[in-house]
Amino acid sequence: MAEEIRIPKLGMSATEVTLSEWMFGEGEQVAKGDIIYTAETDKTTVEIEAQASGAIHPTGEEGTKYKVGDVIGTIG
Amino acid sequence: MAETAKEIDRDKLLDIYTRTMKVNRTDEKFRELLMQGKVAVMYYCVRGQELVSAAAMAALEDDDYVVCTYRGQGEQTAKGIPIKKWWGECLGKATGTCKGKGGTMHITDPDTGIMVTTGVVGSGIPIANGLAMASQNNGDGRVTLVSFGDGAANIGGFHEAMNMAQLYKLPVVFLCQNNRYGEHTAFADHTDSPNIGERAAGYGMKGITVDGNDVNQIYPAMEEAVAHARRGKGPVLVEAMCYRMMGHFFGSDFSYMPEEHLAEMKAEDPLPKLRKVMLERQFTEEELDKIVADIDAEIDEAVQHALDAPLPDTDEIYKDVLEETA
Repeated sequence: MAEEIRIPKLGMSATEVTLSEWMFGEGEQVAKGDIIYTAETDKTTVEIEAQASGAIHPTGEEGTKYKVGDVIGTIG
Repeated sequence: MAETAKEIDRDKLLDIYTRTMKVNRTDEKFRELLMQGKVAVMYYCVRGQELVSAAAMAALEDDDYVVCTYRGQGEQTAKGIPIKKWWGECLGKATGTCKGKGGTMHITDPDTGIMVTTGVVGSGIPIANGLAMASQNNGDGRVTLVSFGDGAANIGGFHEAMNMAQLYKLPVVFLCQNNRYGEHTAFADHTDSPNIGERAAGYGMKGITVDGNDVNQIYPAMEEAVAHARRGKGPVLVEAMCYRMMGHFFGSDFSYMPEEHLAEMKAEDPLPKLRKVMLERQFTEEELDKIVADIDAEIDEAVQHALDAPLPDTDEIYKDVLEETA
């Protein structure tokens, strides 16, 4: 079953997060623990690790703001 | 640092290992759920401090009292809080310890002695005195342990509580988990004295500074402190030197931690050190892995239970706030 990649909550006041950069392209293999994208709030930039292994399918656009919980891709 | 000659009893060592891994696996699972975006709550990671919490809780009796901070997952799960209720509370569900109305920063479960979790730095310290004074008056023999960080040791309430506890010989253990950072500020940038433990002398109190990454140091120190308090000899300030291996909270950047500090932390990681001690004491790899697998299965079940559980009813909002009078 494909694992959804959702925008995480990155701090008490964070409701929106900018997807800064994908580290992998469509269909590339990722392993659990790999840094798959960077996300930015008004306070911080955070590297997000894959929580599953498999082929990644990014759908979120770089430089776009998303709400916490929005789906920006899948793995597997 | 305290020196110890006495070897920890083998059953007790296994108990400490089990509690440590429970704390660690809960922390790993929580970060996984947050990283996946499946759960969107505040969580203060305890990676690096698992052993301190586990050793402290293993030194207490089941009915002893604990007061902890928002970085309290370690004390809560190691003390034995029912894990389904714990996850329920963290996810804001009706099945939680506080019916989902407290959340991660206010976990309370008097049945297992988790009396209160505070969200304000240092505020639990005077509260612990109150619980300990009640025990002293009631003669129930309980010890109260309050956990806090190095940053909390510089607030006024810390000093007032230390003085009062010693004056009345309250059965309380003040556990300062010195993880070298007060939120985002390094220890040396907020305190000029070399450690917190030596402050005890200023109140006429017993003080211990101990390596919190070594089970053979931290457990005997906690055992000694709890026994001292229970015998009516008065409070003890224990400073456990440890490391917070993640940022202040999940999602906070920790690029302000210098490279050499990160390397030092990695070398002192309490988990591989504890595993080594376990193997030296003739526990097998299989036994230790089985414990972790059982914990993981229990956590997975509890997480699913919490995800499936209902939110509290809206009419709950006015309940448990004011005392109901006829």
